[in-house]
Amino acid sequence: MPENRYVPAPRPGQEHFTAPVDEGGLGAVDAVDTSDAPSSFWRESWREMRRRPMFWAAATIILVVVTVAAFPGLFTSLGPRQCDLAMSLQGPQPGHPFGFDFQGCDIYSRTMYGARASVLVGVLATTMVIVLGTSIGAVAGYYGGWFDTILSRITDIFFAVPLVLAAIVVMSVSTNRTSFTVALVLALFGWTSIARITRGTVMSVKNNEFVTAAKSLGMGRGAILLRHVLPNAAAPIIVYATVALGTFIVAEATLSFLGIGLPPSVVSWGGDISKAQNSIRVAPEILFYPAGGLALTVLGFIMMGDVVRDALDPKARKR
Amino acid sequence: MLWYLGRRLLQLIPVFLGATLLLYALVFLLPGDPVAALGGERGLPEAVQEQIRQRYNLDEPFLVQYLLFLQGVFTLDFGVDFRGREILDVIAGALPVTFQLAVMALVFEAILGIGFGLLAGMRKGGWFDGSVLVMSLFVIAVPTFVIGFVLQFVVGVQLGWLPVTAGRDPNFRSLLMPAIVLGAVSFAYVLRLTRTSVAENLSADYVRTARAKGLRRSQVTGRHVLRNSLIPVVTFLGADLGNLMAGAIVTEGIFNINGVGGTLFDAITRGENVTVVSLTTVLVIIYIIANLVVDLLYAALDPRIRYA
Amino acid sequence: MTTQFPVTSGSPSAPGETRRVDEPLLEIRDLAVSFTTVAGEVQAVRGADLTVYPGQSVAIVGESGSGKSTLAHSVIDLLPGTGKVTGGSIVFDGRELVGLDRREIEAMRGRDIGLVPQDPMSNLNPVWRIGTQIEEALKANGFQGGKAERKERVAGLLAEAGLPDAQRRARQYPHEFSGGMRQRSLIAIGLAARPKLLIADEPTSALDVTVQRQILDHLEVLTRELGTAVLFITHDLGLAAERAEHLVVMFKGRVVESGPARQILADPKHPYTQRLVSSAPSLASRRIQVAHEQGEESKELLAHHADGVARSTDVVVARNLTKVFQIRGARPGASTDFTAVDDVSFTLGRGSTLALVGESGSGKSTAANMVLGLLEPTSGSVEFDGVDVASLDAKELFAFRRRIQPVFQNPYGSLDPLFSIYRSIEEPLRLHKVGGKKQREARVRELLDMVALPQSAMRRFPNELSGGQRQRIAIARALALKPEVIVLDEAVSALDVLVQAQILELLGDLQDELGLSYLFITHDLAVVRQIADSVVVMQNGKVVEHAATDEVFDNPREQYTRDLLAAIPGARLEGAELAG
Repeated sequence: MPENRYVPAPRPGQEHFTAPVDEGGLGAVDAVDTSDAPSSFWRESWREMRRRPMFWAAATIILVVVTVAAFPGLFTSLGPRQCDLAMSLQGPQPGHPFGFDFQGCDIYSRTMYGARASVLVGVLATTMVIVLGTSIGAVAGYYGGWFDTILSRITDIFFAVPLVLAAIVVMSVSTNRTSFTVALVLALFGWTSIARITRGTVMSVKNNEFVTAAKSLGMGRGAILLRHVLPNAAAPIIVYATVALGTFIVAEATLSFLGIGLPPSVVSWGGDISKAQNSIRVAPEILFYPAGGLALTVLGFIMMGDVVRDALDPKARKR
Repeated sequence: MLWYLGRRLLQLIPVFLGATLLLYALVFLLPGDPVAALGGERGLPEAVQEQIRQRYNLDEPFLVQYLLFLQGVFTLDFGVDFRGREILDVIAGALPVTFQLAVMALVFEAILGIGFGLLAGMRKGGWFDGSVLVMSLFVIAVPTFVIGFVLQFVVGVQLGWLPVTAGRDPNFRSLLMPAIVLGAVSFAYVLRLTRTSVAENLSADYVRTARAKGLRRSQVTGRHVLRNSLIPVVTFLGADLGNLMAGAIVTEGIFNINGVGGTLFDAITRGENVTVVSLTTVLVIIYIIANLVVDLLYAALDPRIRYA
Repeated sequence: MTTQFPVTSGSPSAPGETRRVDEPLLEIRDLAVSFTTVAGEVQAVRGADLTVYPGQSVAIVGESGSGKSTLAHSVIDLLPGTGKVTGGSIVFDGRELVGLDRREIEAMRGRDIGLVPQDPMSNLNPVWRIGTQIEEALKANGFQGGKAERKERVAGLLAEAGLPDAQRRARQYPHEFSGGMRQRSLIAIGLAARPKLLIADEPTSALDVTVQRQILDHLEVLTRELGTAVLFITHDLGLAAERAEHLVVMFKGRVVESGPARQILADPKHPYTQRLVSSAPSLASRRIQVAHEQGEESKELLAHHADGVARSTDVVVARNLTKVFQIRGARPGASTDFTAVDDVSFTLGRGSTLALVGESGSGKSTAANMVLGLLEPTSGSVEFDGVDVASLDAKELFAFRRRIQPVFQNPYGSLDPLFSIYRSIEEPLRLHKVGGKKQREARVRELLDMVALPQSAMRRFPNELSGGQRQRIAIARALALKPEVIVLDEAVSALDVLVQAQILELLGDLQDELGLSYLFITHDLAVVRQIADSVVVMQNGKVVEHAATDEVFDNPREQYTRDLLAAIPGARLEGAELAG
């Protein structure tokens, strides 16, 4: 079999060349680098996030908005409903930096108090969506078979009804309008994306060899799902949930704007924008404050979603 | 391919039935009597209420009501609304405007979104990319109705470039601004999707192979990078047509367009539940069909799906 | 060996253009390439020299991260990401390539220098037909002629690359091709414009060994006929020595040794090359074989071969194992049965190593999963220590798990990335309620010692360790419960040569120390030669041959086994060329 090939004499530039051994020598094969501190996936992601100015911008926005939502009284001494029709559409003056709306209410204090409704609905709806979507997606993706077929069809059905449309229809016939019911309705039709994301991620994570290794240790299916699969599927869920929070806030504002979200008795940005619309030709600036608050809040969460996505995606991190 | 289409169509049946049942149940099973609420504060006389209940099968058991409604959907007979108009006519009157609006929005978001996204993705990390990305964040963050008001006020009222409202007979010019408003958020999503997809594909192995063949840069970008990046984008756009039609309700309200959204909102405020359910059913059907078209487009764009 | 094929001469080099063969075609001098990362500038290649003469084949050999691909890709300016040539010169055909303008280098790609990339799965665009992708290469490089001629030429190129029925193949999409067929298409693309130099970047490392050999043979004949110079990039020294006349060995971005292939193999001068020569499994297996033929015991006939242990008992007996999977078809009700494992029987003696060898789709991993009790056999049985595993109840099954543990192929997927090393190794102990917290920690430390890792590693996370180190952790985890049998499913296949040799040695030592039995699943017969006592060769779910390792290597009875043996790179090398 071995053929005797002609071995030509080395040509210029192709003589047998041996480099001198480097000062460092060859080193041991595959030595462990113990020079720096251990770092887990989460710690690494956190380090990555901290480097980005956008993270700090988003974090600041979110922190401020959440604080205002929780303790609006800290930022304004006026109540949102202390209105004086005589002050209708008056411009800014000392103690009233944003001026007054059509009904003579102080816009600054209404803007502060409006944060609560948005943040509350956003957080409630997102929490419900995470619980509902993650459990349905995880069960469908992990157990597969009939579970998957049935749960996926149910997901398809809810997915076929557009979020805002469904919310409008349901809220319009609902007689009970509170932050909780608005959040519930949004969650009821908003969980499908997270379920689909979870299902897909769980399906790919469960094929990992560390899952097979856990199986061959005799670990139960449920325990594997909770200890190994779900934690490893968490990253895309977190990213989506952060962005979804912003989306839900917009949806709530849209409903309130249409007059079928929160009732007028609740101070909300959506409701105030709707009211400001009536006097847009005379005093367009009134629109600016609730809309600005709303946009800033949503911007904060969407920016955070972007930063978190980059930090949690190991593919993006390599660069 | 035919089997694929057949399977997808079969899968749509339970989705359609489930989604309409869901909407129907939410509208008719929730507490509150729509008929009693009809005549304002005083309410209608008992006899008239009874008559209405009978005409809309409201005294039948819920499932029978639903089945009768379904029968109506399949025979294209939705019945008449409380004012005596054929609901089918109402829908037929409203649908074309909304459809035109949604298609214009779709074209706007597709052209600009893909264009900007491609430029940003090719130079990821550059100044153009950075500013486009920030812009897209703002577009997503500012709610549609705020963008609508601002554009209406600035472009329509102050500058007078475009009509402030569309009114009775909407044409291309009067629908232009509404379409841009309607498509704004999706435009930002298309842009971001294209950008990520292009950036990812740029470092794909087959793109390197294409370059190694000796193709010029424009050829590599067009035939390999862009072509492959469009797969998820087109999928998004297809699904978005349904979303735009359903989401037009706010835009139509701002610009006073008599489309599906306006009609739906009217019916909601009047408490005409049959009209509401009929209209939403039509929207759900459009939404489902749009998703089917997406699946087919996906198969057409990606040969790997075609034979799966 | 030469297969006959039509070498359709394409755009032939102009008659006047006969360059003298004693002038270098490619001359790289003192090349430096670096990448910009978050941590700053990283030098991937420094001071590299390389010369290729017309029609010659040169191989760059190195482990992952040695800079071999970077060096080759810098020639056609296809460095990934932030890669940039920072110094030195690349002269091709008398022309300086460094600093060439984009259009000029585009004009050279394909026409002067072709590329056959590494992974056939990702290197063809999934949305275009194979024919279209080859046509592109023709059009981009000035192919004269109409559409019909172009189509004909595409078919010619595919046929030349060894794809029968080329007309039909050209209309198919990449996903309809097997890996080998895709690689042939890539060769057709690389050679479409008849370049003077072909860069072949690990062109077959993703393929099955027998396919690998066919394609390399074909490529060799083809380039020789066309007079194309070939620059091979490979991690396999045996393969390089067999396929190229000149070798360039790279280590950590530097060329540490270069020279005529046989000379380097016989007399490696640089300590790194010496390490490589002694570790490359293909060479080691060849040396064992040569020594064996000459009636000597090679010192590499490793001590852990189970000669000392009395092989009286069989710890695992697989009887007539069969596994049938249902594959769902495109049409409803069109599901087909697929027999992954078909009537397979084998025995694993206590304290010995049994290798299950086969190419992809041979059913070897499915068989292993049945032995592990992770898959239920459709028929047949697995007996562990005389007890049928299927007869165990839940509690007994849980206890059985302690006695047999797996180590998998992918060092990146076999450890939970969110678990610290300590938690990963401790998990089996905790799950089986072994000892208290203190004892468990002591055991983890002991296990880390056993796999030769520092105890300080236990606070680290998988992403901080190299592939070889992760594989050690996986071994430590498998050993935690003191099992009797370890199933090694391609456990060393993804590792670099030197690390692979190290892990094999570790496995041998552990076997001696702990009396372990190994079921060793692999596609690589070269490794089998070094570690296994007996071999089961599998093909398409069936056992082809089952015998002692020496028996299989010395007189293989089946043609398939002979093909596998012949496919080990270096099988053509002679004893004298193999330094010890």
